[in-house]
Amino acid sequence: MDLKKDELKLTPDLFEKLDENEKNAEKIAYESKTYFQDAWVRFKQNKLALAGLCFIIFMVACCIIIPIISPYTYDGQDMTNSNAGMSMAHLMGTDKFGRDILVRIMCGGRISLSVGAIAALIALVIGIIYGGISGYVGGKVDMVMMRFVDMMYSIPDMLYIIMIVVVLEPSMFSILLGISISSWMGMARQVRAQVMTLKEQEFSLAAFVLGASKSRILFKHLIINSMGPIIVSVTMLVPSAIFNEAFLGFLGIGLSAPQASWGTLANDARQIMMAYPMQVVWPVLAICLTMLALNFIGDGLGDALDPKKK
Amino acid sequence: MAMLDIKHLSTVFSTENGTVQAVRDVTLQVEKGEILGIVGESGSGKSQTMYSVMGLLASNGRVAEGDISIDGRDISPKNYSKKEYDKIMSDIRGNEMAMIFQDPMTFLNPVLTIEDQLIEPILNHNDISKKEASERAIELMRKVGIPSPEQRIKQYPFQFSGGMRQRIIIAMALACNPKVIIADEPTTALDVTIQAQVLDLIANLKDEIDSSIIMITHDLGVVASICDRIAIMYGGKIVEIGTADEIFYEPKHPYTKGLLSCISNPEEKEKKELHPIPGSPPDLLNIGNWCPFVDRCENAMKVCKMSMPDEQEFSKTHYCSCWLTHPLAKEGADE
Amino acid sequence: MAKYLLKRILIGIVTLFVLSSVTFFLMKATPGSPISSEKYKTPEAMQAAIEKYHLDKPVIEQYGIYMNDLLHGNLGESMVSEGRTVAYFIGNGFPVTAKVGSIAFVIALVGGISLGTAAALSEKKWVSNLCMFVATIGVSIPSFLIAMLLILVFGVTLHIFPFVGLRTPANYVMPVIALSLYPISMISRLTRSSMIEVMKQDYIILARSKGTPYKKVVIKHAIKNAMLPVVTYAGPMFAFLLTGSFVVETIFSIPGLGSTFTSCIMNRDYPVIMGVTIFLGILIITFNLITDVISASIDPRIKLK
Repeated sequence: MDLKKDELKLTPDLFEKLDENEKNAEKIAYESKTYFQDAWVRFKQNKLALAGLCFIIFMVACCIIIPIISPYTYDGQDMTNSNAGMSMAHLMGTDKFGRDILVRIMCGGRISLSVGAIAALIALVIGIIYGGISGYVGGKVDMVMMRFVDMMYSIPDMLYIIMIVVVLEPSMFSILLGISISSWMGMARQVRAQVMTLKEQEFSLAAFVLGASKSRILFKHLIINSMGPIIVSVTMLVPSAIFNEAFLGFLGIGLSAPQASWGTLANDARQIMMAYPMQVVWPVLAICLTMLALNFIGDGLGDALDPKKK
Repeated sequence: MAMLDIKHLSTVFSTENGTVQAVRDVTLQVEKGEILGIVGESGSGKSQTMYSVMGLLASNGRVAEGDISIDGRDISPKNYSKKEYDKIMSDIRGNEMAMIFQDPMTFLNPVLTIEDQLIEPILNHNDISKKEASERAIELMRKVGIPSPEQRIKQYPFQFSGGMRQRIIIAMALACNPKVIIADEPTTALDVTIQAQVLDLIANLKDEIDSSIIMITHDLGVVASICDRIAIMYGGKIVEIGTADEIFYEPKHPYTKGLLSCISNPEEKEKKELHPIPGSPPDLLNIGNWCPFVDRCENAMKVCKMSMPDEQEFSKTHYCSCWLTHPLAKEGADE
Repeated sequence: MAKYLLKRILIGIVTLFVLSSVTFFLMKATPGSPISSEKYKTPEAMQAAIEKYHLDKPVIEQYGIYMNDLLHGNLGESMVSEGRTVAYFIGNGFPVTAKVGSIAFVIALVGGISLGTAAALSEKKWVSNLCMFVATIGVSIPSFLIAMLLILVFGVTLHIFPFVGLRTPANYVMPVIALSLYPISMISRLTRSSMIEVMKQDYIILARSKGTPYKKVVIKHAIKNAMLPVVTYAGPMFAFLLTGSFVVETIFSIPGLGSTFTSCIMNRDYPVIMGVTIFLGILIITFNLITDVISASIDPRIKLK
């Protein structure tokens, strides 16, 4: 009905009252979407993040499937065929014991990826509990708890990890413990800051007035409302845990042979790098691409879940 | 010749969801020494009109059309390259035209001293030494009523109260005796007791340096006390403009009438019922080319949803754009 | 300011105390005795060693002796290399590490800030995207892998740079790149995001409304504010670079503190591990303190709180 002035012929009937239902005073201009639907739409627009997600799914699938369908095992030695190059039989060649590198990398991926995921989850749980309590209780308790975090924070995380792993002897448990202990502080700080801001907002007061119990407010309202930034930091914790684990393997205090993570594979290959450079390339590529993909996902999520970006 | 002359100004913002027409075909003149009030709800485009004039739009906004001139000098962005425009505007801003902002808490740089920030406009537009500029800055602070300016000039913004910060911002705007001062809701963020002081201060200083003022506000009460003329904005357009008396005693546009019935006047003997305007302001994203107020208007007619009303003249100073004042409209429908 | 400093120093001392205690007890908790019977042929020699390291006394007493020594600046003696003090190891390794670390720090700071500012302020979208793509790669790839890739490409294959030790200036190139790539990326990301945030602030609009040209607005009003998070990051980062990357030094055979630490871990040389840990702790705490002071001098609100 958008008419140009001169097209419109003014007649008296046009000056009759407009029907109420032709008005749309209260119409809602935007399609209403939930927070996560909205975030997903924005996440999909970020091509790098989407590519990262696809890569991680692909990597996980390979790590699960390839060792099952491959005729080789990660520790099956074949000294007659050591340090072989790429071939149809061994897509990535074999190492100095004649073990199939592809299978070893995929088995290493199982370890590296699960270390990353589990360590991030442990850090998340500790962080939420510690930060939640600190932020919610506030006052002196908060001060002491946060001073402790500051202190832990100022010591390089590699020192804890190395010491814990050395003291407890290298094993999956000690590596996980070391990595989780060194990475929960950031999470705790973030949760605390979120809880502090949300605590002041009206809706938590409203919940309190309506008779919700304190712990219920803490967990239901506060934690759920600060989900966005927490998800982003968890995504970022996974690559840093993978990095730390690879680093330990590289230092020679990772998992013991014949088990191997990407880090130990890289370190083993480094020692014969001059003669067989390709053996270094595979684990390095696996680590780099995975970390890159996870970082892209983290960045994408950070943009997508930031409510200010709406 | 008008001091500030705005003709057919349109400003658009490109957003993820489409183009927002924040300012639509605004024409406005401000005479020398006059105080013009621009009144409207938030989102009516009143601030963006002035940001367009100052060339301070956010990076996703641009002036799509229109001519702007100050004291006869053309400052329309479309007539210059970006570089030329920037050069002209750094000469104009703070010198010919200055702006007073809404929130004194966020508009001062927290890591620079008051002195650093106050001598900036003076040094930008005058060829004088830093020391002379500091002396002038102290003089300005005294003028806007800050006690012991010699000591306070060395302090940081966080050491000042809200009212005092607003005085600093006013001092910055006045630093080079601008011809036009744009005050963007200068009292909204202040305590009620401070509001009147700041308004008085602006009005008094204006007389002293004889400049024109554009007062942007959503509060008709604020403009009533000091403005000569008032423009009412709605949906990115000026719907009615007139002298303060014409707006208050002979409002023509239903939106103006609605605004007036929302004011409470404690001096009135009888208790008056306040009538809020139903509904919410229009979404300026992909807005249709008809009267923006139609959906909230009690007396809306079919034509209102078909075409934009023309501006009608009621006196030399009083104009209104509304189909209800058209001769064909039934006399005051149900008034 | 004095009060603020005092508070920070006090927190630093407490941190150091906790760090050394935790280190001590962790080492004590290690299963098995650090004095192995392979090294000390006779029972007498072993007994002497046990007495020398006070291993016959209760743990609490050992802790007391250790802390007392620490207070007097005595970090103890190596258990593996006979007669070498921990201070000797630090004195040997630290200058080497500090030299490489300082170069990497300067490069990271200059490179990171300029890259980040360019990405934030460039009007061309591809400049920003490219900077951030490079930065994400730098953040994602661990330094030890970069070191290996560099050696593989420029050392082994192309023979452009030497990669063993630090004899010539050309030896510095690859370790410095490997060390600085991560901080460059981190700093440029930080600079970019905080610059973008600052340029959206109201006080930038006010500065422009005063007629200050764009470049001057950036230099005078934006950079100082935008640098706050960068300073907070750069201080501890410098400490990390000074303490040496454990692995980059090992890979390039640089006789620095990092590779000393790594070899001590392999040898389970506890006094040296503890001593180096505490030395690193002191360094890091000092740099945190310096960071706090710089932040306070940039933002007047911090020190007066």
